[in-house]
Amino acid sequence: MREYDEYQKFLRYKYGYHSFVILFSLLAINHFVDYQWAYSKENEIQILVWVTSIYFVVRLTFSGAYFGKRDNPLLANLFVSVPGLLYLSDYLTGHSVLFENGRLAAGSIWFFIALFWLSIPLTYAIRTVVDKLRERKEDVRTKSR
Amino acid sequence: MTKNMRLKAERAKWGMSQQDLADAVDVTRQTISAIERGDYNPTINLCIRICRTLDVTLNDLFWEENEDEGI
Repeated sequence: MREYDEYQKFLRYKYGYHSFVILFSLLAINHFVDYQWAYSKENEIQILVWVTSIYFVVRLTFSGAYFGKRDNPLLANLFVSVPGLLYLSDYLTGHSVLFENGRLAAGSIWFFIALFWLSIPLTYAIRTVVDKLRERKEDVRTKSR
Repeated sequence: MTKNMRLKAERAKWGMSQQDLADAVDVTRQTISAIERGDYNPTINLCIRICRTLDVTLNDLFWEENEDEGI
């Protein structure tokens, strides 16, 4: 079981609540919009759930609340990259299609699942770079005093 | 919320990085950063752990003097 500190728990509740509100809003809008943009209505709902999940994990990873205190982020990122890349390769090699007849295809859900898994290591990499730049700036400021 | 510069100053006095302090009080570096930026108000338990690590009192780090209030 992952251990999260109090600030991480606070962020997880906060972004979880945001995600709930976003998902609810998207589903409500989708319900009233009279336009089918995916293979079926059920497909649309699934995609909206995955899009909201991507938002949730990106916010958590960027704010440092996705990985627990004792987790090894590098190993975890490697682990989640594998299914992400596998699912994405289907689309890159042309085995699966994203769009069909101007709508998202039935199998397009796997694209969003790939994005979900890949968003974690990508966001973590960006966050690491931002942290290092901030630390360097802080070091320069401290030394100049 | 206002920044907690006293925490940063006290940490620097001990030559500790945010990661060092975070490890000492069993939280993540982002938590210490959020407290110093004023983005998060820690619980009393965490405040006590930080004060014990830096060998200061709660007043020294977390009391906010408000000139308008008469106590």
